[in-house]
Amino acid sequence: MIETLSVRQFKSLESVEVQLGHVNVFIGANGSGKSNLLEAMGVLSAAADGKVTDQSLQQRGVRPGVPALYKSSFRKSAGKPAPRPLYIFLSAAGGGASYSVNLHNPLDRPMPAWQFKTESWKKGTQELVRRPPAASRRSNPEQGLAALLAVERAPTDPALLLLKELQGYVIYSPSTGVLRGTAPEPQSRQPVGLSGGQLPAAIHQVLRSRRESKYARRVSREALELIDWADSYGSRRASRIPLSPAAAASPRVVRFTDRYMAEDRNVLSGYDASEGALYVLFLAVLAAHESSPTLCAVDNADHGLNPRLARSLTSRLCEWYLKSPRPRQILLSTHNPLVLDGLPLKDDRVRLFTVSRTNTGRTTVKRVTIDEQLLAKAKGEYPLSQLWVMGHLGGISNV
Amino acid sequence: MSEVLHVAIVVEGPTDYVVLTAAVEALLPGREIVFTQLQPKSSETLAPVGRETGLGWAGVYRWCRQASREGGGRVSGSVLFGSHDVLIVQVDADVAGKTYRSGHIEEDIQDLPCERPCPPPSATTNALRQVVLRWMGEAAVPAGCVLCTPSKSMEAWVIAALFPNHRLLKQKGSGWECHADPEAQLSQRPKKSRIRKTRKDYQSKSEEFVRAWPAVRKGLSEAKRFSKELLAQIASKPQ
Repeated sequence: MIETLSVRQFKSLESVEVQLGHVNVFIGANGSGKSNLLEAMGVLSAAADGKVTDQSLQQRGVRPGVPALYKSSFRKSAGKPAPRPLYIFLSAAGGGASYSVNLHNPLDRPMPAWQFKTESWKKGTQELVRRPPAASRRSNPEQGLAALLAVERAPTDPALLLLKELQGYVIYSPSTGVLRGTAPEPQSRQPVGLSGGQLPAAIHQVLRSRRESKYARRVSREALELIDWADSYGSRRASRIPLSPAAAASPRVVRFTDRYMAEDRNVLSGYDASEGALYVLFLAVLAAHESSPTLCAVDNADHGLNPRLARSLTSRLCEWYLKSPRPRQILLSTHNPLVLDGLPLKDDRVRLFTVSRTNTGRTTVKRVTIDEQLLAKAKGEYPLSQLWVMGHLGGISNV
Repeated sequence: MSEVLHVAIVVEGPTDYVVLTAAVEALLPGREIVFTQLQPKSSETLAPVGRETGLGWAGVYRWCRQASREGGGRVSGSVLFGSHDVLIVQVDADVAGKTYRSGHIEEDIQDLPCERPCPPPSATTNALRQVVLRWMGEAAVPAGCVLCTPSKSMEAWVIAALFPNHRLLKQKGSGWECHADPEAQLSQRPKKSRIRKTRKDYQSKSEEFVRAWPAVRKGLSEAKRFSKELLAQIASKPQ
């Protein structure tokens, strides 16, 4: 598990360090830097996988950008000269291992691939990879060394586990059109694409795994409880379900049984169902599918959800992630206040962060201190959602 | 980056927010600061509805009452101090001449108006600060909190910052801080140098406010008091 993420000179993140838990929720105004933080982990993921190119970034849900936009470029401010960073520094540590890189790409003549200026992969204090700046002249500067040397590590080596977690990291941004099957998935991936594509097949696989997995049984049952108008869900071949000709033809579609409709006309597809139900199933698949990444992010996790459903789904999602037989870690960004009320923040593994810009535009990330006073208020007249909207937690827009 | 300072701000209106943040930046050069505007709330451009607090001094009053309720009877008990290092509450000194009725507020204790002869401006602002503390449920200014009471209004600071040669500023003693309507002086400027009381116009002058703050602080007693009290609060916080 990633315990600490450090970022320097990446977009609005001039110097940020975050202590992560299992479930991490980031709140803040639009443009505060939430997505930048998720993307910083995405760039580190690409580096851990050996190549930082537009393609490797897009595969992780990171918006590719030219170095002039990737490297921080703040204006001169009172008492401070205008910084001119040469490198982006990214580091992750956890489970007694760490991986850090300094990445370089010239502003005036951008290259297709970022260069590794320095690279360090450690198990405790033992350096498995140490790439000093001078080494970039001897070895291929566009190739990460840790990704190559990973083949030599034992499968249970904590350094390898950390690297693999990083390599598998992706940022999901589910979109209604892709979930419904009416829009193509731009980044396909197992078990679901970054926009929610292949959801019907993934649901099918999770439901099949119920036979062997008590955990999959639990997640799929609780997901159904969140879709109060449905008696059941699953996936079916598109040819075996009433489907509008306007819907894009895909081999399988999500299938729901409506509990209020007459028996011979109560089956509907994801194309016709409420989008909230599709988002519930999408997150359930992330939690329960055996191939879903152990480390991932969902940007705007509340998309398309009624506030109360957002609260209940958040609560369930936390339970799913905390009780998963395979340790998993998730980063979520949200603008829905009710999401906060679904967080079991007494559990230190669930963490809430505010993301803000300072007066000079730098992003700062602050963990919300959870003490007895706050918990007592949250239980009573002042739920966290309200305290956030009141501005008392920070992480709000000043416009 | 040194420790980021989180400053919560309660002001009468959006232009006051611009001036106040500029003043704080000028007082803490080089310090990274996150400002949170607690009042007025962004959605409150119309009359107060339900839990909304509204604009103006009445909005500050309602915010104080709401925050003290959340804090168990006093603002210092609010959870906002868990997320912010400093809370600044601003009320213009001309509020001392108002009545609760004029703010559409039902209040049992009629401690407004509380205006005193000016000069000195502090006679009125001291009385007004006691009133604001009562709104906040406090007997004295609590740790982490700074009161800001420009006399007679924030526009006195704006004119001192942007038009340091204004004829009324040349008055001896505390004359300018006792001028009943500095805002009118702003709107009476020649068209070329006129500034509308909008967030956008004030923001365009933000850097000028910052540069001029040392002179404002030197010339106006309430600006000096605010500066001193803010710096004292910051000094008690780790860098």
